Amino acid sequence: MKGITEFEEFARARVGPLYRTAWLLCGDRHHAEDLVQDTLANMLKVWGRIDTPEAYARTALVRTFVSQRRRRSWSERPTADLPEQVQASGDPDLRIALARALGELLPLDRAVLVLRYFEDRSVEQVALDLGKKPSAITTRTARALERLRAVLGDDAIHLIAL
Amino acid sequence: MSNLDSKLPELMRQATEDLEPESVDLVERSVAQGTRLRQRRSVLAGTAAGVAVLATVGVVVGTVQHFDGRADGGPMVAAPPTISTPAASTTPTVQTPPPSKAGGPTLATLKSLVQGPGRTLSLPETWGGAQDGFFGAGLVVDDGKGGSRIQVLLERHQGPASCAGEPGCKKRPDGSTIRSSSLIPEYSDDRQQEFGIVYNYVEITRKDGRQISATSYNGVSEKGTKHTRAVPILTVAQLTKLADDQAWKFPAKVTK
Repeated sequence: MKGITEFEEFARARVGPLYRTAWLLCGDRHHAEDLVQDTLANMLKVWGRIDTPEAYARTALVRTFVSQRRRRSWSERPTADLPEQVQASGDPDLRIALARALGELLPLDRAVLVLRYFEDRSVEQVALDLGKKPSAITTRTARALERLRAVLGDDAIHLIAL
Repeated sequence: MSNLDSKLPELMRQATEDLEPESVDLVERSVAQGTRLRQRRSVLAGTAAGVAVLATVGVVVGTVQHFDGRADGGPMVAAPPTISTPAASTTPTVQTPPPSKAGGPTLATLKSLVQGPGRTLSLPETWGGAQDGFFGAGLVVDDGKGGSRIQVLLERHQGPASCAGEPGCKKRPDGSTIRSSSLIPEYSDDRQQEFGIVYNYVEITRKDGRQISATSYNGVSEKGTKHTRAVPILTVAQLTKLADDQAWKFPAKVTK
């Protein structure tokens, strides 16, 4: 039976990728870390019954995000303090622009885009992940992209040219 | 801008490149939270609040065998409870958690054990039930020095009790095991400064597998509210005494 040691090994190996997905969903490190922590904690609760931990973690992360935002158990933080100022590497301008733009989307739409374009999941897989029909995912994807274009405005040209 | 969709994967990858959690103890905190999760109030664990979430989300049936293909009906992880899984169904359905049938006795026992002269009890709540395999109850106790939330959760595991090498777990002479922590900060980031919530925690697994966990906070809730007193109203020793009381009625179902 899988034990806590095995779980810790899994968690250490996956905490980085989970955090990056969580950051795209949440737009700031505090909530992203909370989301990862909640996801891993919930996984540990049923660890012995999970056959495919990586897939489970990804799906649980996104579902937890959507549910928590629906419940508004998190208070949205003002974005005056732009996210990830402490991050020394990467492209801070891109991070800020993308976080702002994604933050303008509905949580479910944000989740759809992250799963489709960051996690490279198919429409059918995203539908299963989020408990929606594939047609709904297609519609949401198109709507979310349109919204993203509108929010990014001129920034989109710059970002796409990167 | 028309090719945003084709560029988005690379934009997301670049934006998150090299991003790592700042909290170096994120995994440790996750493990700590996970091990006491069933004791803690979770609105996603098949509670009434979970039902409200379902009603709001309007989640459609999905089939993810690896994710929520549970056969035992036991407590579910955060996300899965929001989805029911009839494999071939195309009709949106919502799986409502079973009503709590035993929260009452658990809450009544909790009340009887924490009440005392000068103490007021408020904000009682229960969660779980026979079908969930756990009974949860909580309330706020105020001794005049500020409210302290106390929560308990009762389960039954396959005996005998064992620490199985877990750090911080001790075997007691009667064959039971105990895990405890004191004055643990609720948050690992700057919200700890803001809210100041800490808690004491005890988990006792009796020799036959009956397990009870008990937590006392120094505030009226575990998250999102500022602390109301310096320390939780019950110490680890007092929580241990409470958990060891023979009045608790445990679920019959064994949690795997």
